Amino acid sequence: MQERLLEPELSTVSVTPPEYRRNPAARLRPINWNRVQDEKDLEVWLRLTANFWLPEKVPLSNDLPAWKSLSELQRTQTMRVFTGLTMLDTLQATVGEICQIQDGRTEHEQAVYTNIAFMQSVHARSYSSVFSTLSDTPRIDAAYRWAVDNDLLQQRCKSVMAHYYGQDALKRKVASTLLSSLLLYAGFYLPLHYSVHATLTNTADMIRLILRDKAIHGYYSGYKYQRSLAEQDAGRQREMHQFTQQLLQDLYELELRYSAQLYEPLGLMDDVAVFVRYNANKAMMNLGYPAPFSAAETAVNPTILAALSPGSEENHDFFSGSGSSYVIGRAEDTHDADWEF
Amino acid sequence: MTLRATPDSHVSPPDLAPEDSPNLIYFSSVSGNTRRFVERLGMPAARIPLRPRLEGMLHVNRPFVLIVPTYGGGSRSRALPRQVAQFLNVPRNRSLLRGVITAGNTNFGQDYCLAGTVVAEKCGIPELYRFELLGTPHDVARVREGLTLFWSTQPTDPED
Repeated sequence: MQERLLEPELSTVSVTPPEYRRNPAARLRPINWNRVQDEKDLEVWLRLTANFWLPEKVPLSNDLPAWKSLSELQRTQTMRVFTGLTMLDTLQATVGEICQIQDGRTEHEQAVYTNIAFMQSVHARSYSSVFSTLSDTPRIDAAYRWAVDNDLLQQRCKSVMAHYYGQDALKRKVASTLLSSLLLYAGFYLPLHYSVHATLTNTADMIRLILRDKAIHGYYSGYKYQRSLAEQDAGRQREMHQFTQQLLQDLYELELRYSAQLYEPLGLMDDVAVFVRYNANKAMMNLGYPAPFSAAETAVNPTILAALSPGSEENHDFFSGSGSSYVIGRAEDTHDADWEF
Repeated sequence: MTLRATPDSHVSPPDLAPEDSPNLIYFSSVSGNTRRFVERLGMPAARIPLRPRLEGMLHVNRPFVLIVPTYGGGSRSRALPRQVAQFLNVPRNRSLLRGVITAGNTNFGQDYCLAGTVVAEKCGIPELYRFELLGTPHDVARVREGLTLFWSTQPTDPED
């Protein structure tokens, strides 16, 4: 544990603005990036802000010919998938990430969550950019009507919302991490699938920007969760493990039912289920828990893995012989500058 | 030199005698994800210090495999934790490196496990394995088997 303490006087006589609710008489202090208590806060801030992007930067209109070549069914399902993603990112932007601020272990963590909340809004807006570029208002409106009317989508959202507005900060973190590391991924499957077939490739590029952000969001929330959890007694830790396993199970089952509506008409449900389990494992690992699904249950189609991460489908597995980075040669002396490219 | 115990279960002394130098060296940030994977391996390992200036840089004396996390989503030059670069800048450390295992996240696309690629290219050694986050039970089993097999094929003379 390498957290440096705040200057003793200030931390005892002042609070951060979110703490006003609990302690309205206390003096407030401004954020001080000159005294960072947890280096992870600054590291993540820098990574997230360096990754800043907007959907306007993605040439989505280049996907128009591909969009027109999809069937009406494919287009409808695609719009519903993306509207579902918009619902979840709207939830995260306006509630999920915001409600983490009050639980911040440090003031800089509070600032990081303001960035994360904003980027969830960017993600939500980016799906609209896809719609407005590729589709038309009547069809977009129909997809939004479908989202509001869809009981399973509503249930998925409200299962996590209950914890966002609850009293338990740890459960709040778990719910948020599970949403951002698990619930969205059935939706992300579709653009990756299209890109395997060299279709909607710019949309897939945009999805990869979203995925890059969300990986850091899940990592950070999971890290903060584990730090808080480590301070709890054994009974509470057990309670939280059981809670997390149960919530994961509930969300996973909901996910399969919801995704079936979207993907069974497209004949993709089996593959999607595998991808969901693969991401359920990652969501649990972000929280510091063992991956619950076996290797067999999470063997994602290599073409999908390659669409997600080129080269990752190669089996870097000791003596498999693959892995293009195997270079036989003399190692050279290196200096700090050598590691810069 | 006195041995300094770190909060985790592995002692990270600055200078290890050959018989004490494990064949597994790793780096883990304050998140502890990689450290957790290494603990589950149940094999002797030493940790590259988080603060080499305060703790002293680790010096090894036996051939080893490196396990390193990737700092994803950034530039290639920042994929490798700076402490690992410093560790490998020590000529003797680098000369004993035989392979790298990398932790990462496929969400980073082309940058998945980039730190391993960087080390493999710079140091002329193979990328042995890649896993995500803190690794699944399958990853742990595979790495255990793989390392045992790997060392059985290495020449016993440790010198370059």
